[in-house]
Parts: sequence; C-alpha cells; structure tokens
Amino acid sequence: MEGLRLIKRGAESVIYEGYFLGIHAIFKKRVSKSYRDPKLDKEINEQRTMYEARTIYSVLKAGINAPAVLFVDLANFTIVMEFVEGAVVREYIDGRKFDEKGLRELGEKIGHVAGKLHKAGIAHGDLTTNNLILKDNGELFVIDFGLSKRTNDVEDFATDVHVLLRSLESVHPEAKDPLFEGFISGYSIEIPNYKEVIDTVREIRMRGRYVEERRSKASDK
Amino acid sequence: MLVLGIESTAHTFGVGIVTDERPYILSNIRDTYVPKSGGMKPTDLARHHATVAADVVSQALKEASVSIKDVDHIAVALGPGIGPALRVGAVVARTLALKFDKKLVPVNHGIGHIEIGYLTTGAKDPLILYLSGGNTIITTFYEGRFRVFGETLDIALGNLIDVFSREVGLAPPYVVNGKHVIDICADQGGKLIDLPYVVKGQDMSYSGLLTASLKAARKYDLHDVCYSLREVAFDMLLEATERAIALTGKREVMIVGGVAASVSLRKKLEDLAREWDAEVKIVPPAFAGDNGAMIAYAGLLAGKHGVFVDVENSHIRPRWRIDEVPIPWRA
Ligand SMILES: Nc1ncnc2c1ncn2[C@@H]1O[C@H](COP(=O)(O)OP(=O)(O)OP(=O)(O)O)[C@@H](O)[C@H]1O
Ligand SMILES: Nc1ncnc2c1ncn2[C@@H]1O[C@H](COP(=O)(O)OP(=O)(O)OP(=O)(O)O)[C@@H](O)[C@H]1O
Ligand SMILES: [Mg+2]
Repeated sequence: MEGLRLIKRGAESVIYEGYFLGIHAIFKKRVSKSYRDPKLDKEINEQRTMYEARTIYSVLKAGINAPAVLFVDLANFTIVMEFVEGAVVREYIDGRKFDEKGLRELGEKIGHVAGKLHKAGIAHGDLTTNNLILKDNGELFVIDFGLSKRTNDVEDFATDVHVLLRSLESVHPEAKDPLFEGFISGYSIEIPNYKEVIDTVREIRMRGRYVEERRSKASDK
Repeated sequence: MLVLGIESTAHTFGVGIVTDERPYILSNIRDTYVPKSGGMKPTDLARHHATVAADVVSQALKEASVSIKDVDHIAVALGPGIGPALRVGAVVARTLALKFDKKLVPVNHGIGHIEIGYLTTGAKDPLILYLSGGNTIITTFYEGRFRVFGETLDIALGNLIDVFSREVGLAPPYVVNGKHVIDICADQGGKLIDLPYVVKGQDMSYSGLLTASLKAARKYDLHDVCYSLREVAFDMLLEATERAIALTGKREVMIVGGVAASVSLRKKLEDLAREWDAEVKIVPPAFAGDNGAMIAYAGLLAGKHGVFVDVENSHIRPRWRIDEVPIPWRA
C-alpha cells in the first residue's frame, strides 16, 4: 500500500489516508491480534469487515451520512472509503469547553442520526463520540460499522443509546447533561416510541447494577 | 495510623490490619466458605461468617502484634454484596467501634480491590480491570471518581467460569495449585468450537456464552469446550479493553479482583500490552481475591480524608456501585 500515510490507530484497525482512483480516501485495515486464537481472529476480522461494508451501503440508502465504500479487500480485512473531512466529535467536544447551547445542538444532531439509523432497522453497535465526525458545514457523519446489525429489536436500539451515554459519562462527564438532553429531543423526533427505548436503557443499566440478585440467582440452584 | 478492616461481602470473611507507612500491611487473615457442592446459599454464608468472625479478628490482631486499643479506625465493606453476608461484617464492625470507641469508615468493596491494586503494583495512572466473581468492570479514575468505561451486561467473568466448571463437574474446588480448573481443562484442548462472542461497544455479555457452552459440553470434547469458552470469554474482555485504551490513551493496565490470578489471562494481557506499548500491572495473588487488608487500606485512605459513618447510619449497601463513591484522596 504505497502512497498511504498512517494517520490513526483504532482499537481494532489501523487507518491510512491516501487516494483511490483520485478520490481522497481512508484505508481501514483490521489487524490480527496476537492474543487471539488464529481461527477466532480470522472469523472476527472477516465478519466485521463484511458487516461494515454491507451496513454502510444500507445506511447510505436510508439517506444517512456515512463515508461511501470505494473498495473492499476481504482477504486483507481492508475497506477503502471516502475520507470525511471534519472533526471527530470526541476531540471536538474536548476542544470546546462549556458551551451549553452548542452542546445541546450537537446532541440533537446525534439524536437525529441515531434515530434515523434505528428507523432504518440498523443498530450501530459502538455508538461513541469517537465514531462520529462533524463536518465544517455542520453535517454529522457516522463511521465504524463493524459491530452493527440489522434489527428491529428495541433491546438493540437501547444498547446503542446505553453505549453512547456510557461514552459521555466516562469521557465527557462535564458535557454529558446538555448533550444527552439534546440527544433525546433529536431522537424523539425520529422515533415516536422513544420512551420504550429509554425505558429499556434504564433496564439494561439496572441489570449491571443488581449485583446481589445476579449473584444469588447464579449460585442459588 | 492503624486501621482494622473487615471484609464479608461474599464467600470470604477476612480481617486485615494496615498502617500508613511501610510495610503498610501488617496482617491479612481470611476464612473462605466453600460449599461441598452446588452454589452458595446466602444463609449458609452468613452462618459461616458468624462462626469464624471472632477467631479471624483475634488472629489478625495477633499476627500484626497490636492490641485492639492501638487501632485508630474500624473499616468495613458495606457493599456491594450479598445481604446476609454483609450484615455479619457490619455487626462485627459496629460492635468493635462501640465497645472500643473507634470511628467507623464505610468502604466500597470494589474500591478496596482497586486501592490494594495501586498499593501493591505501584501503578500511577492506569486503566483498571476489576475482574471477580461478581464484577467485570473496566474503569479509570477521572475528576474525583472512578468512571466505568465498560462492564458486563449480565453475569461476571468469574461467575461464568465458576458456574460452567461446576455444572460440568470440574468443580469444586475451583482453583487447584493456583490455577482455575477451567484453565487446567482448557490447556488439554485446543480446537475452537463456535460460541457466541458478544461485545457491545465497551460492554460484554456472558450469559449467552454460558448457555451455549453448557450445551456444547454435551456434544463435544470437554477440553475443547473449556478452551473455546476461555478464549471467547477472555478475548471479549480484551477487545473491550483495547477500545478503552484507544479511547483513554492510558499506558498502564492494572488488573485486580480474584480473576487477576489467572495465568492464561496474564499471558493474553501481556500480548495486548506489547501492541499498545503499555505495561500490565497485576495485583499479587495474595491480594487478588476478597480480603480484609484491602478494606483496611481503602479505609485508611478514606479515614485520612474524614470519611466516617455513625454506627446508627452504617447500613449495608448491597448494590453500591464504584462510580457512586466520591474519592477525595485522589487528586
Ligand atoms: N472515513 C473516515 N474519514 C475520516 N476519518 C476517519 C474515517 N474512518 C475512520 N477515521 C478516523 O479513524 C479513527 C478510527 O476509525 P474507526 O473507528 O473506524 O476504527 P476502529 O479500529 O474501529 O476504532 P475504535 O474501535 O477505537 O472505535 C476514527 O476515530 C477517525 O478519526
Ligand atoms: N487462579 C485463578 N484463575 C482464574 N480465576 C480465579 C483464580 N483464582 C480465583 N479466581 C476467580 O476469582 C473469583 C473470586 O474473586 P473475588 O474473591 O475477588 O471476588 P468475589 O467475591 O467473587 O466478587 P466481588 O469482588 O465482585 O465481590 C472466582 O470467580 C474465582 O473463580
Ligand atoms: Mg471507532
């Protein structure tokens, strides 16, 4: 892969920047993990690469902003996709300190995008601020669909919301409240039964919390 | 300063005595309840703890060569844990506090695991994996609290390997010569069987894996099932860990809780750390599982910052999460 410049290292992939048929592109290559059983490693990387490419296609068809896939090299676990010029939301928030109104508006955009995905029957699977890119013109793009799935199960949608909320709590605790308020107002416009989703989020969070019940259930037989 | 700490949240009744200077830990005595078969019933646990409590307290004092009069504070794990077991520790702590006129320090059990990890590994600013029978948590300290990045959405990693081992007849005992029976069994296998691998963002789900593994155990070679279960369970955790490393940029990974004693987990973590140029810091086996010293030590830190509770308000907290606890002693 000559002419490529390594720009990022994600949890599961290395990200190169370059040109593909003259288009400014990202080359995302999933890497093998030395700690994993080789068979499991191959299965995971192959499946994630395939899901990501497929989901992006459905996402674009549903009119949601995501980088178009230009080429897939399954044997090398590599996807070539459009380069989205903008700021990763995680860094965007860190750089801005406390602008409540701006945060609420950003949250609203995230809510709209998440709602549109769910409306299209897609759960993202890793909906964190690291996987959202805000363009200079204000459009919000979603990336990293390796954990996504086609679904209409409220549980899967609620898990997306839970993962997002978790990333806000742990990475941006000071910005969480306006962001999440904004999120709900955007999300509720797309998803009329958003209350059911939010209730399920609460339920998911309680599951992890009920240490006592979980333990005695597992050991009481 | 001398602090006596009491642990009784689950299977172990433990008492430790610590001081605020080297060697810090003066004694660490425990008695763990192991049912002959099946799981732990809360009432059996409570009976066990109540039976051994007095002996464990006096042994801890004796080994530390101190008298209860020299002790400054009594620390007690008020949660999270199993109600009837917690109550025994709380009663012992209240009694000691009232009888000998000591202040009572409430300690969160998970914070105990984490603080003894910092003390014994020398970690400075780590990503923390708290892995035990009741918890599977990825956390880090940030602005006054431990923030949870990821955790199990259902059962804990330790619970998964324990219940599987028990149901297929490998346990009890769960640990033989420092190795978990799942590891012993897995090391004789090596063929990967398809089992559900479920990671959701930084969270993982283990209950589907348990069900599928128990089913697979009826069909395939048990060693291969042990191997596959272990690989899938640990790799899910490691993947979530990598996400947290990518997100936080931490260069130390500290492992605490009973599962930290796993040899195979250590090997995998070291492979992972090499890829991220990070360092793995694992709590020594003696302080990995539940123990009193960790409660005493977290109590010492809290007590120095004025965290006390009146005896009449020292209620047990079976569902007390680590991210609810203010940590005034870490800047
Ligand atoms: N199409 C794109 N345009 C611009 N930047 C991108 C694009 N795809 C990825 N990136 C950059 O690379 C980073 C990692 O990408 P991605 O999230 O897809 O990889 P990953 O290995 O799944 O990472 P993680 O698991 O840590 O989220 C992104 O946070 C972003 O900064
Ligand atoms: N050598 C070992 N390898 C793997 N797992 C181990 C080993 N030794 C102990 N464990 C596991 O550690 C767990 C017990 O951990 P610990 O005593 O810290 O916690 P607990 O009381 O069960 O839970 P918690 O700390 O969440 O209240 C059990 O699941 C046990 O199987
Ligand atoms: Mg990503």
